[in-house]
Amino acid sequence: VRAHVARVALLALASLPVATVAAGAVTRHAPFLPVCASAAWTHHVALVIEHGNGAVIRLCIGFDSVSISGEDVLRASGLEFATANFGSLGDAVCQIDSEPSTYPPSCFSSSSPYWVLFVSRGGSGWGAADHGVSNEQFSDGDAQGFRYDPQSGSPSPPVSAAGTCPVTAATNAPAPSSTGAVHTPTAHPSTTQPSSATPPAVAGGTATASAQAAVVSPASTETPPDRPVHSVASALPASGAVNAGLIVAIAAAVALLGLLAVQLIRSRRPA
Amino acid sequence: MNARALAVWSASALTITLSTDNPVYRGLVVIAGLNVLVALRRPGTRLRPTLLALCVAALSATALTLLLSHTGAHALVTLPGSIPIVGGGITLEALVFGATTGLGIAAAVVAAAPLSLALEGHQLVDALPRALSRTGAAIATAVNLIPAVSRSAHEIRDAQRMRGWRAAHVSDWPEIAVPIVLTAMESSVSLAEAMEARGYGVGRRTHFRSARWQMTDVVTAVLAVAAASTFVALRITGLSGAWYPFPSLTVPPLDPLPVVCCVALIAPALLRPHAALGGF
Repeated sequence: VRAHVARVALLALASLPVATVAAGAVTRHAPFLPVCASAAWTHHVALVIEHGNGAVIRLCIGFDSVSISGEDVLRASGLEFATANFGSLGDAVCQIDSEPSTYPPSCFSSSSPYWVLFVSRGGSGWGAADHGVSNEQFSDGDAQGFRYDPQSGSPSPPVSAAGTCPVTAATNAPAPSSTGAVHTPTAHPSTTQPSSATPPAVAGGTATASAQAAVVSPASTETPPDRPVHSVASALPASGAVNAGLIVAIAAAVALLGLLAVQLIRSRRPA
Repeated sequence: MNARALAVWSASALTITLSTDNPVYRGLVVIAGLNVLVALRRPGTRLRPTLLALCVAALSATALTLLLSHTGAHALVTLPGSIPIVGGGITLEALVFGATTGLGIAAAVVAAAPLSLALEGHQLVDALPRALSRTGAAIATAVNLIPAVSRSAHEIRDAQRMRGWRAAHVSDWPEIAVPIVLTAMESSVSLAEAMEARGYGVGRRTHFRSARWQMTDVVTAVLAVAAASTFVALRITGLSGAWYPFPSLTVPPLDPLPVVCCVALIAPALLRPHAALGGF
């Protein structure tokens, strides 16, 4: 009876709810001036990325093919990003521009902030995406938006994409910008290429026709093709500075293990 | 030790374990819990079976995560993609995350184990709130039938063998199943009559010895609740943030206060250091 009652008690205790979510405030930034007013590409897609702290990155991505996938738009931007595959739904974006710094293997949890994908067709307002970023196709005049949502309430879209790309033709210089003074992307699209340029390196996959039409040269930190994820995070573990917490943790572990050893030795002695 | 005080300690240890992804904090809960187990276990209770099962569960979680999660920047080895499910990169990050998951399982088991290894079954039933006492007794009695049925099955099978019977096909199993069901029903009726003869359900349950709260029990419960509350508060306010090894392995953040909360769980072992005697 004892063992089985203990199992029942274990199940009851294991169901204790533990709330561990902290939601952050998000501030909005106003739209800003067009960034690629003289782009030379046939078609353009606006890319708007709104970070959790409200910093906004706007990019105008040019391409010459009929359409371009959302993942190629991100890749062409030169920004660091990581994805996780969700089967037929396509890839979900786990990380953009190193936000968040870490994430669970499932990409996001049921309570943590996450990147929400929005699409805008032909200059209309933002709408929820029907597929993952790899399966979304964008044509000239469309826009792709990401907002790092705290997952409290229904997700609100990022700031408007209006003005990010020129209405008529243009430049050969897709320029990244950030309206938030506090934000600096880790990688910038810095050079331009003609439409026949070599496609950017595609991490973990094969370059598609859309990717070949991407206008931005690969960032110098792009992930090699054999990496299991698209992340370009540092290959080195973060430098864990020796802090008070680490010292206290080591001391506590040593003390607890020592006490455990003493107890075990005592318990082996005959009474 | 008072069963309710130990239940409070177990709940607090579980709360800390479930509210963090940090392997260091989970590891500290495991070590503190082992100290409590060794100090409070009933005389003669062996810990080896529990620890073996715990190790198997933790290693299984680690292996499963390592094989199934192909996320992470540092590939240790790459299995051919033609292998279903496990094909792909085997990453250092998945290994660390699997070990962290295994530590979480170990910490949860160690947190709840004292309820089984330090207390008698009747102590747990007595510790239930009055509203749940009859339900608890009924559940305990019902669960107790499972090993009784198992014993009965062995006895019936042996008896049938002595008569020269051997089960060759599935169609032969009724030769055992029918006597088992009949025996179980007979045992249930006997148990019900025995409980009724002892006045079960007539009035409040009496106790041969009522459990009283000693000062050590109060201190244990208060410290455990304070530790768990502080830990959860730190988690909610973001002072003890979440940690994941993905996409690239980083050192988990550590703060002194959550460490102190984990260490405070050792209180029952320090307050009752003389209680344990028995084999490992």
